Amino acid sequence: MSREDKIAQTFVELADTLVADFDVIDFLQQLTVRCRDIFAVTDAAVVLAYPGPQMYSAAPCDPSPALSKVVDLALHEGPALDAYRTAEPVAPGDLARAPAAWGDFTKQARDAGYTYACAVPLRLRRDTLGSLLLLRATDSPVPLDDLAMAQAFADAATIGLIHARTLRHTDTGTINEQLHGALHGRILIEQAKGYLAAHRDVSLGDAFDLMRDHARRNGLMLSTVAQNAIDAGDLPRPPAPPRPPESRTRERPNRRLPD
Amino acid sequence: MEHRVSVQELLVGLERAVDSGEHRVWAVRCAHALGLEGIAVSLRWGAELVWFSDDISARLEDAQFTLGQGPGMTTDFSEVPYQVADLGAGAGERWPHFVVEARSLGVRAVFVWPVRTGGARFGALTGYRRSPGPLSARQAADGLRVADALAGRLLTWRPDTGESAPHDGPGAAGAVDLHWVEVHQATGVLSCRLGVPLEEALIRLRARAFASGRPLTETARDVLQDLPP
Repeated sequence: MSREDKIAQTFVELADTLVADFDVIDFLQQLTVRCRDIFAVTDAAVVLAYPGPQMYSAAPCDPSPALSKVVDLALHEGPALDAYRTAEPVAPGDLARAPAAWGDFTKQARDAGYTYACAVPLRLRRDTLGSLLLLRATDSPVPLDDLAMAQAFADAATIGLIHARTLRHTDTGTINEQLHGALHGRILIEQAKGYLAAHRDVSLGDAFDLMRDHARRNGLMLSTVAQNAIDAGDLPRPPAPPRPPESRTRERPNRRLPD
Repeated sequence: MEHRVSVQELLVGLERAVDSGEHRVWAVRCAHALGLEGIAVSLRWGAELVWFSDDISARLEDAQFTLGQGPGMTTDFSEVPYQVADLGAGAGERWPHFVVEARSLGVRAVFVWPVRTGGARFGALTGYRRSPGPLSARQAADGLRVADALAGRLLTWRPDTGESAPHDGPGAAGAVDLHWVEVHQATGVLSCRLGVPLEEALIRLRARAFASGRPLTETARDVLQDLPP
């Protein structure tokens, strides 16, 4: 698929939120997958300022240990926080020359192998809901075209969040409900990871992969799979082989950073 | 119209109130911001009354816990909050003793927001009014956001000292923002190992942290250490 096709498909996905089984966390997870696929970035993360005033990381649900540490700090300083606070994109900057106020974030990011960082806000009229953080691990910044396209994705995603489900509430109610759903969906997935890891005696990462694979095979949402796993005490075991062919393009490449 | 505190201001103030021990002042502001006459925050279905803005709120919570009945005992959160917009209209059939008690305090409407993290509902934010009538959509949504903010605070609430544990966040007391995923993962692990629902696993995790005098996040990390890497 060409880059243009991928971009077009992403906009369709971001607009397709009036479906019955829409789930905020699946939606944001997919946004980060698309960003890594389409843009020249190593990692992408969505942070949301709900309930506030602190932010939390809504996606991805399966960050590498390195990304996880960087995002923890990005909630307190750096481009993601600045994009949220100013409601403006933070242009790709070389982390070797980052502002002094980003000290802890910069150190953690550079130690993890990232070289450039930028972020775009998730804007809703006068409010900002959070931001999309893009990290790169090569020796040139994220192209400005990519940054503009990332802002377009972020805008489409915000609109998607608002239009999700029904329009039965006024805007404050709807967006609160969505953000509430995102927060607890994200937490539920972590709880289910822990539950499944203990039950099957596997790592937390493997537990997430089990849930994600089950969700894909059966066309289910991640948070539904997480809830079912906790309610039933386990995931249904997959049917015996043959396994379905790995034809889905959603499978992402190895997401480890280059050593 | 009286000055209305925005929810954003209220949540920023929550941090300061915890730090300075001014919970009651904060609870009064919270009640007013939500258009209520009083609020109470409790854990474990009223067993642990954490914060309240006024005596009537505290007595409502006590009444529900001792009588074992009342809107706060509901498990029906298909609509949030759970609204009893008029305690006079049929509510007496459902909670006869509670309604008598509440009305003797002058309470006519009660609203309950669940305080939860993911699949674990471990507390409630309860508000009351002296006149019947439902909340506005905005008040309902604002209360949901306040309840979500309280969830992070209450996990590190220490019943012995009446303060949040000091070492669970960077700077501000009690915030479970850094490494919060570990707390939720450990809740899932304990739920499986102990064979208990998530809410009980969460309360046991919290109890372990209190008993050992260590931060919740460290206690959670210990639980996760037994998993395969």
